[in-house]
Amino acid sequence: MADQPDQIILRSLQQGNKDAIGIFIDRYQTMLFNFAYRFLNDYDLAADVCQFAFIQLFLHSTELRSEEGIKPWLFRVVRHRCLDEVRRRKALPFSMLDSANDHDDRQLGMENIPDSQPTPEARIEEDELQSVLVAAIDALPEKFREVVRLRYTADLSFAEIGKILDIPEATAKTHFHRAKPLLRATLQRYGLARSQ
Amino acid sequence: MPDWNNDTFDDIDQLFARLPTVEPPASLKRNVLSSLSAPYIASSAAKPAARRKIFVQGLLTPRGWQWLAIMTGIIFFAGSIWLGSSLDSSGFLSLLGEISGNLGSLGSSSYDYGSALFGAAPWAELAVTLVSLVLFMMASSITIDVKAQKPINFDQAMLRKR
Repeated sequence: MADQPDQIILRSLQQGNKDAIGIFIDRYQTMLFNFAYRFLNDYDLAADVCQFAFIQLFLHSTELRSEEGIKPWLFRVVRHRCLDEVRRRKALPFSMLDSANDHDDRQLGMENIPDSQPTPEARIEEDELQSVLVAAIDALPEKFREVVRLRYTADLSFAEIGKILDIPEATAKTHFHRAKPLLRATLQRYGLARSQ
Repeated sequence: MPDWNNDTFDDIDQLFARLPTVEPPASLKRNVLSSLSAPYIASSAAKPAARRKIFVQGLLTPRGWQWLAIMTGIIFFAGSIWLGSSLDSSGFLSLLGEISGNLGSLGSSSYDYGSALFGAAPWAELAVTLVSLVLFMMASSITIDVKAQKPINFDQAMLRKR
């Protein structure tokens, strides 16, 4: 069953087969997690959000229409949950934000990223690049940010992005291409992109 | 994979392609599957009535339901006082007293008494009191219900156990 399309597995889940949720987890956890992780910059919180999404899938499986698509649905749930977490963070008192930032390594998930770099210097450079890239996305206007984040962190097509954000595919493409010059301007300040 | 064939893969795309894929924790799947076995989740998934309950509960956060219960309780209390005062000032209570003193003529004059009561009733005050009562009962019931349930382990501290 693991190779079956989502619609078949959804039907199985709707009929009460709990193993089906395991297949959806195997299929989508990495891309969902990466999207949530880049959104929240918090490894544990990203894991919590993804767990929430899969549990919601289990609870609401009978309400889903097979043509709706499991992947866009899961991304929508994760996105809404991430937005809620960001809003919640903004409401936190400053002192709590300070303590939440104490474990920078944990937030960046450095301890969980396999150490495939040959030298510590190369690893620091890659970590700094990651931070700059994520910060460049975060600096975008909101409507561009969402599209770019889904494109770069989750490797989604514009059609899929359109379904998740409930916008036409062409609009998603336009937002992405309009975001590119803004990203380029930000990255040029770090000497990471060439001028056009 | 994105449809790069339909887009120019430029230097910006190349930079972002260097964002590594971060593996989710190995416990993610295990945590989800063990959560599904929790009685609250399992029964909620099985019963439409329980799912409707989840839907209603999900309209507000637990704290939101608490505040709604408090506010509607206050409104109900104030509304009751207001209703009592209006019942007296509108003559409704004295009309009821008159009716209870003339029960013998109730059969022949029921229409007259009914229309008099209908005209004298403070409907706005009654509506506010009743609605606030219903909302108070619903909100306090949900608040008690949520507190009594075993919490779904979305709590970060619990999920950090590996």
